[in-house]
Amino acid sequence: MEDTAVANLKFKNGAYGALIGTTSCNPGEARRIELHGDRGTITVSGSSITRWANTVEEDGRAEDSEPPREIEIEGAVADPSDIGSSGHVFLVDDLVRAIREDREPYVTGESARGAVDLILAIYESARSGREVEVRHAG
Amino acid sequence: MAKDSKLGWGIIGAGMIAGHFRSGIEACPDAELVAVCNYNEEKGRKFAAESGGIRYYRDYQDLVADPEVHIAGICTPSGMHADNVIAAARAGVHSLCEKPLDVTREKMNLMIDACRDAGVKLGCIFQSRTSDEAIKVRNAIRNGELGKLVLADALMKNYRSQAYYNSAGWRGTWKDDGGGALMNQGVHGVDLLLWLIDDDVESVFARAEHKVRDIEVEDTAVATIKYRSGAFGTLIGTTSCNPGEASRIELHGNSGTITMSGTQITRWATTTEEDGRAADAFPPRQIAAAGNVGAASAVAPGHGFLVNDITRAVLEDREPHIPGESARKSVDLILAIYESARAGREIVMDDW
Repeated sequence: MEDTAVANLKFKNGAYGALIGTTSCNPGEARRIELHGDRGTITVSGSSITRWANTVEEDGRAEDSEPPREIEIEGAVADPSDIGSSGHVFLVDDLVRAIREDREPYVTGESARGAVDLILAIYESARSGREVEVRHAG
Repeated sequence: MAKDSKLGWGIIGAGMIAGHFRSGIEACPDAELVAVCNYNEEKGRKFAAESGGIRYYRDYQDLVADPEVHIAGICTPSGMHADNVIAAARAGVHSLCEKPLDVTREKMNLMIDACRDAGVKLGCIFQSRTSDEAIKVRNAIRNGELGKLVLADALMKNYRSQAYYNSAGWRGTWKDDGGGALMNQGVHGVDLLLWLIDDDVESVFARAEHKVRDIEVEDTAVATIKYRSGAFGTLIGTTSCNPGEASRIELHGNSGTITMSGTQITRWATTTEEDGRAADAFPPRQIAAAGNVGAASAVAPGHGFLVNDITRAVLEDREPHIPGESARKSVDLILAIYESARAGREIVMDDW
């Protein structure tokens, strides 16, 4: 079982991506998401948006909507049980309502399986040493 | 060589970077700028006049033949570096060459061989290797402060507009630029990463393409690396991130983490305990982007250091701070990245 993984992605829309997942960074940090387009950039650290810059001009320079946040990097969770409960509250409430209102829940099974499908493809690529096409069921 | 006589320098290529070389030469007590050459005569003569009326040549073969030129500063487009350096070497002239050394392995072989055969020095400009912070980080890793390295990443998310690529005919071409976001802008970060960890790449899988710019070469590249030490790495090089940011280096070992943004150290956390949690020496920071629109940022101190260094290296008959064999490593890796992207498979450095 891996403690460190690095994946090189090509998305269906043609964009590239890098996934880095590790439990052996010391001391670790909050999870970061970094999104870049030719018209702007949005970055997230933990649950905070740390940068939001965009432009509507053709070949124009994106402008930050406010100065990018210099935040103290949140420490990574060291205690696995130390996870806030507000997300669970939201999702439990949503599922109850979804049943009552006979609608899909916020996170459906078909949507949730995407992450696992990708991770399994990453493992297969690492095992075989080859690029793997990710099959999207459903 | 008399101690009070200065070594004469000639600059080949009077473009954007030539001014940094000139500043470095002026600041060096053992150096004197005596000549410049530039293909465009009007631009070349202007530079010569602004430099105190130094000699102007149109052809670099004539500049290196000038008896007062002992060291050549190579500021031409990347794909011309080897030709300039080889001509200099044959004339017995030492060279300090802008990054990248050149853009193919064959040309780098030729220029390194030519300088060795002629007994002249060959140095390369990678100003990031001259900052106090970078030297501190490299020493910490060599001293084992991060323990066993797990991840070593370089994120070079730059912005260059279409107008930038349109501004000069050689930009964004395979022949003269040798590549795009990686070979031109990203080569600094690639070089710094390899130098800081003092390790070599074993294999690489990469994607590289132009996504949003109308150019021959790539504007976006993502490379996944395995180092010889067994650590993994991610290289991201792009000129199509908008608005871009200072380049980041992120180094993680089992006993600590050091990260840099531009020349600033943004995190330094280590532990000496077996299986202990690393502690930050100061509150870690995310630096707001200082993305550059133009190509040359505030890099003059590095040029001054390296101009002075090679001048001293010639006088003391020693190797320069960044010799050709060391400078070529980043280009070798970038070329392997391009090959991996082209072939759609992993490239093992020893087999390629």
